[in-house]
This record gives sequence, C-alpha cells and structure tokens, in this order.
Amino acid sequence: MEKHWRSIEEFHGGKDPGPETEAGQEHRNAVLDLLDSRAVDSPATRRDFLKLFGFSIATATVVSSCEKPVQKAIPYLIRPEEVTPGQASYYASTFYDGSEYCSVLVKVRDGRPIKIEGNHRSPVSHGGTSARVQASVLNLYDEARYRDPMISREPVSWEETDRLVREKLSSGRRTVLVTPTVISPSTREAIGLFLKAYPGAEWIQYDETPASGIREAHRILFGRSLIPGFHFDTADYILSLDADFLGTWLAPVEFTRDYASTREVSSTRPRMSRHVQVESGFSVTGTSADIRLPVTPRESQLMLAAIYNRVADATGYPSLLAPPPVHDVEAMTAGLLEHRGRSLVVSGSNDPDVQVLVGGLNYMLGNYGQTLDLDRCIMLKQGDDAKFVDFVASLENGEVDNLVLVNVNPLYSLGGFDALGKAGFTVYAGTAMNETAEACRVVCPDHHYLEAWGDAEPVTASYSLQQPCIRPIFNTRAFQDSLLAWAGETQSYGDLLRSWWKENLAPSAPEGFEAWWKHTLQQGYLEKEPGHPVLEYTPPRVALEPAESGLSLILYQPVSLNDGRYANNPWLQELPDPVSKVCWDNYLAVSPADAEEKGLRDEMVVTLDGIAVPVLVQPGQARGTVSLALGYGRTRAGKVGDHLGINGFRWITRRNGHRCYVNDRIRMEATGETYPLARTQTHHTMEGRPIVRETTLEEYRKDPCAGNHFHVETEAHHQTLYPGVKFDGFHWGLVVDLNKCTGCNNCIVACTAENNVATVGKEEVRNRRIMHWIRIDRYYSGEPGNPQVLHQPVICQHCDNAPCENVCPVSATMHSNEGLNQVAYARCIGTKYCINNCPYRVRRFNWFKYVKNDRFDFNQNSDLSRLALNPDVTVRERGVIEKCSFCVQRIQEKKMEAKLENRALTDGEVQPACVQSCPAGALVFGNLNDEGSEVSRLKKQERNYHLLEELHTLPSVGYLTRVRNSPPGSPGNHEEQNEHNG
Amino acid sequence: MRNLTSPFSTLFMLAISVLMISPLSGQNGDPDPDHPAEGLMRGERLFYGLIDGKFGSNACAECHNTMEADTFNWNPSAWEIAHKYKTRSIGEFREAVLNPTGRTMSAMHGTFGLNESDVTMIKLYLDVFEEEGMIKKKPVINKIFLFLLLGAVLTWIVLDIFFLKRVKRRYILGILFLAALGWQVKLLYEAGTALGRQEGYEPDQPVKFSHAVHVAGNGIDCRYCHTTVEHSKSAGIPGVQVCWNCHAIVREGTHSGRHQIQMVVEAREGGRPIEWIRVHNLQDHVFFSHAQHVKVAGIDCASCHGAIEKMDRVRQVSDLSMGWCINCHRDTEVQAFDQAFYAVYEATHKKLKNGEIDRVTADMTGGTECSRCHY
Repeated sequence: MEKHWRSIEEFHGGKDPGPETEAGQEHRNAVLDLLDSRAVDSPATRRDFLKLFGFSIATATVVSSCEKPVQKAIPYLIRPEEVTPGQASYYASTFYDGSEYCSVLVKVRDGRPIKIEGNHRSPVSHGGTSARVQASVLNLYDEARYRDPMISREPVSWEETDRLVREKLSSGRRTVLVTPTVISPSTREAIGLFLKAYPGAEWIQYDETPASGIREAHRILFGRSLIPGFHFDTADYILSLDADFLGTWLAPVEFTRDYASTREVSSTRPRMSRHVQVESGFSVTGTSADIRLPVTPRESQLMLAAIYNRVADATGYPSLLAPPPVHDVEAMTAGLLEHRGRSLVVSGSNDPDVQVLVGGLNYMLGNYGQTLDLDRCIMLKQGDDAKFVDFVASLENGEVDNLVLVNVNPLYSLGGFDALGKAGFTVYAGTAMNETAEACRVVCPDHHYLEAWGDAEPVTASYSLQQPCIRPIFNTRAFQDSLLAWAGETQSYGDLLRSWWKENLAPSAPEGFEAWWKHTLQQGYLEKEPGHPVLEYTPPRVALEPAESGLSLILYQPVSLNDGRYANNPWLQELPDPVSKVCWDNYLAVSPADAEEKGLRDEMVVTLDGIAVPVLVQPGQARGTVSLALGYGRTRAGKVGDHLGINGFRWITRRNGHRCYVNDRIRMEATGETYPLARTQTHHTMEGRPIVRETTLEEYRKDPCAGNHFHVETEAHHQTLYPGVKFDGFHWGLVVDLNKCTGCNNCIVACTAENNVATVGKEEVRNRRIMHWIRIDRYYSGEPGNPQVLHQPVICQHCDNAPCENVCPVSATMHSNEGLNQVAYARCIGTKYCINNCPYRVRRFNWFKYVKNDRFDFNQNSDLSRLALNPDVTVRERGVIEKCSFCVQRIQEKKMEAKLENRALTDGEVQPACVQSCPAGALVFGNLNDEGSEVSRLKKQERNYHLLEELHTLPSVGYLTRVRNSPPGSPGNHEEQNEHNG
Repeated sequence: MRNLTSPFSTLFMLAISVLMISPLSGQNGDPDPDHPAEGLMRGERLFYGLIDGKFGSNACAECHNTMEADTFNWNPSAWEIAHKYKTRSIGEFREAVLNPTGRTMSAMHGTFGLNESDVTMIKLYLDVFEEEGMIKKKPVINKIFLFLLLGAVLTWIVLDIFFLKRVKRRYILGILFLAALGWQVKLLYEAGTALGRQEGYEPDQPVKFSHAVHVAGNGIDCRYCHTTVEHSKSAGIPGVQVCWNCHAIVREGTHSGRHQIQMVVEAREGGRPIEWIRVHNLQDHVFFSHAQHVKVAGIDCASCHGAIEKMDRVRQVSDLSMGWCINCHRDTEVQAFDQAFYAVYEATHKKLKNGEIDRVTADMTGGTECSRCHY
C-alpha cells in the first residue's frame, strides 16, 4: 500500500503539529483555566449565589407571565398563479458574471430564489455548476449591494441621475464605456444604441483575468481573433501547460464534464485518457493528472518549444529556434504523435508567443476539427489588452471626459488605474460595492442576475436566456436599461431582448413566436447551426527565448474567489482551497525544497517586494517558484471580504502588451514573524488506514480488483451473530467515483446552500469547528517534491451498522427504514458521544448559535441574507449535532411528486444537492434495493469499496478506486513501490 | 426559515411553568375617574346601558364586546367600532348609529331612543376606550393556587413529622405526603406537556369569517378556498381574490350585517391582505404535508381539524402533539397501498398476500421514522 500523507511533517514521520493543533491547545488551555484553582479562589460568595438565585426567580416570573406569541398567517392579496405556498418553482436561467458562464435552474420558494441547480438539458454546461455559481445566490441578498442610485454618495432618484448623466455625456468630448466581456447579443444591441446616441463614444471590454493571448495567437495563425471550442471528451491525450481547466480556466464546468467522461473506467470499458499536467503551482487540475511535472514557467516554455520542434520534424513543418529543454520531452512527444487528432494541448499562459506555439502544435497534430472546434468558438474573454493599455494611457493624459464603467473593478485588478480620478465624469453601473464604484461620482445600481432579463451566447450559435426570478429587491435598474435611458430610447431592455430574439433567432412564422418564446424560455437555451468558416493556417514564426530568472511568482485564480469578485461571499471565503485546504486568506505557496533552503515553515511571514504575506509549504510546487492566489486583499468588498489576504494584482506584468500572471522580478525576504492560517486539512484525520485506494490502468486491465483486494478480504470477514438489516422499499445509497472527482468543491457549496450550513469564520475553522456537511479529503502520496494527490469527498456514510446510533443516550440519532442515519435536532441534547464514536468524523456540533449572532456576522446575521435560507431545512440551534442527511428533504419532495402523479419513483429522480450539480458526474445516488439502478450497478463494480470497511460499519456510501493512466516508471505508477510495500 | 427551540430553553420553560406564577397584570378598563368631562362618564353609562329608557332590549355593550370573550360574537367589538370611528367625524358616527343601512343593524338599532347628544357622549367614551384597548380577561390562577396549596400541605407535613408531631397516626401523614406530591407532579407534567401546544386555541380573527356559514350554510367545498391542499405541503389560506369571487356581489351577511364583509371589500380596495391569526401552529422543526394526507392517504379534513363546518370561529381540536401524530400513524391503514408508488414495498406486499398481516398501517412504510417529519 502506498504511503499517504497529509502534510510534510507527517511525511517525515513526525506528528503533524499544524496550526490547528496549537489553536486547539490554546482553546483547551482556556477551558482548563476555568477549571483550575483560580475558580476555587474566585470571589463568588454565598451572597452572589443568592443574588443570582433571586435574579433567576425574577426572570422566571417575568418570562412565565409572557403569553404565547400570536402568529399571523398572511396570505397573498391576489395569489400569483405560479406561486404555490410550500412548493418550489424552478426557472431556467443563465449565470454569467463577466467571466464564467453556466446554464442554471433557479429554485424559487415563495417568491425568493434560494438555490441554483444545474440545467441538465443545456448542451454547454450539461447540468454542472461550479462553486461560484452555487454561491452566487447569496450575492443577491448581499448587504454590500447598492440600494439606490447615488450622486456623490448621496441617494437620489433615477430621474435626477439620468438628467445629470445625459447632460454630462452630451457635453463631453470623449466618452468611454468599459464593460466586462459581453456575451449577450441583445446587450450588444443596447450598447450599439448607446454608442449611436453619443457619437465618438468608445466601448472597451475589460477582463479582470484576460485570455487575450489565445485570441491574438489565433489571429496570427488563422487570421481571426478567437478562442476555439475545446473538446476534452474526444481527447485521448491531454497536455496542459499551466492551464487550470478544471478549476478556473475559461469554461471549467463544461471542461470538467467532458474531461470526466474520458475518465470513466469499468471492466467493460477499460480505457481512459492520459492527462499530462506541466505546471508550477499545484492546481486542482494538476491533482487529476496522470503525470504531473512541476516546472518553472521558463522550463515549461522550453518544453513547449522542444515538443513543438519534435512534432514539426515528425510532421514536416518548419521548426523554430529554441534553446534545449531542461526536462525530457520524448515521452510526451511520442504520446502526442501517437494520438494525432485525438490529443489536445492547452496552455493557461496569456503570452501570445506561447499560445501561438500551442496552436501550431495542435494544428500539426491535426487536432483542429477534432478536439478543437473553430466553428463553435468560446465567446468568453473578449477583452483586448492592447486596446485597454491605450485607453489607460489616454486616461492618464486627461483625454477622457466621461467614463462609464459597468460591473468592472479595474481600480482593484489593474495596478496603476488610479488615473480614474483624471476622468472628468465617472459613472459606475454595477450590482455591489467595490473599489472602483466607490471612486466614481455617479453610481447606478444594477440588478443581480437573478432579478434581470438577459441572454448569452457562450459558444458560437449556442444561445441561452436569463429571466428574472424575483422582483428587484432594491431600487435598482438593469445596466442595459440605464444605457438605453441615456441613449434616449423609450423601449426597455426586456422588450429589446424579445424583439432581438424575434428578429434574429425565432423561426420565420411570426404568429407562433409567443409559443416558441415560452418554450425557449422554459428550457433556457437554444441551439443553432454555426457557420463554417474556412480558415487558412499560417505557420508561426516566433522564437521562444525565455529569460533566465531567479524566483518566479505565479499568480493564479483560486477556485473559490476567482478574481476577487466573490470576496464578500462567506460561503466562498470559507471554501478551502482544493489542494492546500486553506480558507479565509491567501498565502505564498513555496516548494518544500525552497522552504528548506531558506528556512521557511508554514505560517512564517515573508515580505514580497515589501508586502508581508504568510508562507505555506506546498508539496508539488515547482522549485524556484512561489504561487499567490488572486482575489484577496479587497478593501471595499463589504463586511465579509474586506482586508482578507493581500492583493496579488499588483504583480501582474505585461508581455507583448498582454497581461501576464508570472512575475520574475520579485524580492522575497523572511521577516521572522508568523501569521495564523486557517486550514481545514488536519481536521479529519483517518490515521493512515487504507482509505483511498488506487491502481493504474495497466493493473486494472489485468485485474479489475487491482488496488482493492482488501475489499474482497474484508467482505469475506463480515460475519455477525445478528440477522442482517433488510430494508423494505428504499435503501438509499451513494457511490463516489474517485476517478471522476476532480476536487472542484462545487458539492461543498451546493450542500451549504441546500442545508443552511453555517459559516463559522476563520477563528472557528482554526478551532476545527467548520460546519461543512461534505468535505473533500486530500491525500498526498509519493515524494513531497512531486506528489500525487487523491481527493475523497466524505459525507455521512449512513452506515447500516452505525457506531454513532447506539451511543446516543436520548435516541436522537437512529436508523430509518430507508437506510438513512437520521438526526432529530429537537431531541439532541449535545452529549457529542456520536461525534466521538463516528470513525468518519462527519458529524458537526453547533458550538454556538450561528444565526442572529454578531460574533458570526456572515450570511445568517441579517434579515436580508437570511432570505437565502432553505425553508425546508431546520436551522440548527446551539448545542445540537448535525450532519449530512442525504438531503432527506429532497427525497421526501420527490417521493411526494411520484405519489401525487400515481407512479413509481424512477432511478435518478432523487438527487441530493451534491449529486445534482456535480460537473463531473462523479456522484451517483439511488435506491440500492433496486437491482437496475445506476447506483447498484456501480456498487457491483470490482472497484467499489467502503471507507474503513474493516470496522463492519456497513456504509451506504461506496467509493470506486482511483485509476491512474500513468506509464510504468512515472511518478504516478507505484507498481514497484507497491510490490516493495506489499 | 425554521428555528428550533433548544432542549435547554424547553427545560427552562418547564421549570418556570412549574415554579410560577401567573399573569397578574391587567386593567379594569374603567376610564380615569378624575377625568373632568362629565360627558365621558355619561357616555360610558349609556354604553353599558346604565341609564334607563334609552334602549329597547339591549344596550351597546350587550352586543359589542368590551372584553375578550370565550364565545363568538358576530357583532364588531367596542374597540373595533372605536378604532374605526376614531378618525372619523361625529356626524358619520351619528349617522351610523341612528340611521344604519344594513338590515340586521337597522332592526336592532331602530329600537334605541338615543338622541344626538347621547351619541356624541358615547363617541367620547369610545375614543378613550380605543386608547385603553379591550378589557383583558382575568387570568386563571386556580392551578397555581392549587399547586401552592399542595406545597403548603407538604410543608406542614414535613414540619409535623419533625417538629410539631401533632398527628399520632404517622401513616396518615405518609399517605397525605405521597398524595400531595403526586398531585403536584401531575400538575407539573400537565403544564410541561402543554407547553408549546394549544389545544382548544380559538383566537378572534380580524374578520369574523365563519366556516359554519360558508361550509355548512352555503355548502362550499373546503378545496374551493384551500386550493393547494391536494398538491402542496400547505393547504393555503385563500387570498382576498377568492373571497371576491362571491363577495363582489354579496355585501351583507345574515348574521354579521355589512360590517365584516366591508372589511373584505376594504382589504381588496386598499390592497392590503387580511392578517389572519394562525390557529394550527406546528413547531418550526416539523414538516407536515397536506398533500400526503389529503390527496395520497385520503384523510378527511375533519380527522384533524374537527367539525370545522360547525365552527363560527376556528378552534384547534387536536393537540397536534407528536404522540397524537404517531398514534394515528400506527393505527391508520394505508388506503393507497395498491397504488403504483407503493409497489416498491415488496416485502410488505408479500406479507399482506401471505396473510401475515391483514392490513398495512402508515408505520409499516416508515410513517414513524424521525426523518419523515424532522429534517
């Protein structure tokens, strides 16, 4: 068995001290202080006791004389037809935040959206969501939202605002409109009308994290600025150079789905794609790779050039001048050449020189038209960096009179945008407070996407509609309506949207439009046949000569906050990084070798160009590089997100005019100080038992039980004196395919939203009191320099022989006749025996009241943000245990539906929140009693095993072993070590 | 949003209810005796019919409650009238009292011998009454009194045993002691279990809507108003637009005259929903589905709600306790067991076929599992 370790200290055989241990120690000391002799010597006397006694009697008298509060039942005056009290409605809509797209279903309960689900019919996102999409519902009820239009921070009316804006816009010489990438065709139309009304006005699209390098590269190669469509599902060999395509790069939800479909392994389909990840920091994509190479950005570029030349030689294209690579690229070249037309090379770099090589490589391999699609292009990230640079220069020269900013935050995300003050008149239109908005003269609050009409074209000729799911909460107006109002148009944006669809997309018969429109709106998307442009290929003529560098700083978008736009979202702040498991802060990831050399340890503070940042020793970080997450260090995000971590955007550099996430000119110095980081990692120790099982594809082909012989062994030993438990009807179970799970964290936020899970804050996370019902355990194996990573989502295992159940003194937790391990909160008295007896550590104790408590001033402390709570799930009180319930409320809901329709419940109908929106489809839920159900089928696979099954807990949750497609001798193939250890 | 009462607070309330002590505050409703206005006093006397010869049979107070009453009264309470006319002119009030428009009201008010100054004085009194509010009912202290009395008895017994030693036959003391203590415990238990329950709760509603009139009298089906009862958890309290289906035309009731229906009209015209008082109030951590019980199980409304069709004012007839739910789930046969959904319970179907069981009750399909109702 491969040795798995969770931190460097553990690898070296020591006990993991961990920041949490210290924190825990402090806490224990505090508790012990209360019990020590001081308490005996305390000045409390008999008289104090009597006073207290008297006081409590008096309180009791007052309280008991209170009458039972009268509750009111206020019905609608006129009930809207589509609203049924006590029942949720689902509306198909579109999530697009300026950087990420997702087709969604919005669950609306009694008129308020409470949950985002994936739209399974969508041909783009296929029913998956990301953690950001799941958390976006909380932004609707964000207190940092603007409530009224404002001029110079004074709330005014819309009329007054419009009067001032129109007056200024018509008098100024140069007007510039800055928006994020607009993928909405009707919004383009509205912007067109605005630009027409103010001749000379310019429109610039600005991406906080651009991808202009790919567009530029395709302009060079094919004469057209575009991002091709990526088909990871048809790729058998994937080479990714620093592209975090399963985390944040371009369209992670779509990519995850496609990618995971190539990782489905069964005895009838014993094959999978091979994924090679070459990167500097440890991304969530890197954790899924079969082969991962930690290299510096320079080495990565050299490798790319070398592979390019070798492939060029083999395919008869001209090769380029390039220095020799540091690493061996023969295997990769061979792999790519072997899979011509079935391979895919992607790069996360924004340097057009790199992207040109990537494009050329794909072209030579014949991937265009196969795994790369030039007909259906990705329409995201249309921002043009070079154009924006010119604009900033003219802004600095005072040449811009009127500046209209829509939902962008360049003051935060672009070093040196302070020139904003030099614009004569600034208008900001956006949903919530941010640094840029606070610096603008006029603020025009925009609807949240759940309140507004809209559409999107995320991929060429693939359209999707967005509809309002709630009446605007505040005095807001869609920014398109603002633009139309300033352009002097009388039509609303909603009308414009409809007429645009009618003219451009609706089938020709005009009398049928209404029915067609309703149908399209209901399904949320529309597919059209894309054009088929014939593009001429021009071989690249660049020569890569990456400069030597000392220490490289890699700036990356974290899975939680992306580029900082979600900084005020407590769900995302508390979401641990998939690899480091740190939340509530960013930190500098340093490789173990560098750390040893420089004497750095976790939580030590270093200065980066004079700015203090805590260090985290990250196994797998490339030597000579350090990584820092973007998105932190916000100063005007709101009560949750302000002043957490440091802003990494200041280190963004430029290459060929394009913003670049690598900075080679940094100075790092140790300070001798320390700073506590909150990590969820060592909360849930499993004491090194064989809990994550893995094998290689090669082994699996020989023996489907490979890596899982222990399961067969334990099954044989499962003997008991007691009769087996039989469930009549339903026996709910879940299977997690560890080979498909990428560790993207979507399920954690989905569960949090569905089950009213409390946010506890950094201090409580350090005290190991995080409340998440589902956690993703991450285990390292191999050498710290380049370890393999295994993710394992762990929820309540709903054991049929549950250790927690028989220790509860009040029978608050017991087994249901459907195999659920249920908790009756009202019965729980908080002895915590069950936590102590649960081998999986999945039970959570409410140490505090997390609702309406100023100490936990997150999303459950204001009337506004409590609107996001799910009314179908009890909000737990202080002093009770909670844990995963398999979303029993959703089971009950679906059973009810089936009963009312007088039919049997179908397989796959019931889906807990984590299963519903898993972009990888790694989780499958269903009835184990039903032989034909998907979950039963998976459970019968040889790969299936149970967590700590030797304890005879008989869990209802199964795991399928991780299979790596690593060639022999590579770090991912442990054949030799296995033999050695076995 | 669902909140949960913690076990601690429940215990705390239990302790309190045991220990203490009732609401003793209250007001007598009399106007300030030092009030200088002579007319006010006379207005009050008129209202209570203490001045002879002005009324035929009933004085104002006999129809218009001045105190929260146990019995249902069709007529608007004194406070409701006072509140309505607080901001209106004396002329309007006079008109309403002396020349009423509705049939019911004319029949009664026609017998009055009130003159204009009498009515002005009544209005004076009502303005004061409006500020002071309805006269509160005197709290019932019998049980607490009994509890304290038993406590005194216990104290005396203890004193007698150890100090006074007056009673020669000690076993009498023993029996007395046990009886008194037992009685106290019984009182405690009753008070404790009643916490959070409100069997017999029958509050006055803002509009005197009578189920007796609408259901028994007019034969309207429950589902005509409670439209969602068959497909949602909530039965649904009808909005004013449902009332409006009939009351757009029907403007005067047999018992209530115009006053009550006028409130519905005002709610609709003013765009303000009627704020009903919730009678059946399950704890927030209980998830109950009407659709399951009414549509799937075919349970009659009356099984839980009692003879609603006979109630003018809705009263909670069941205690809605968990024991009550569970008992029903244990006893009630699942009528729908032959439906497609229940085919999944194969073992139970087999037992039924083999004759091992003669009927299927709700608990056999998990009707008594915690997570059926608590999640």
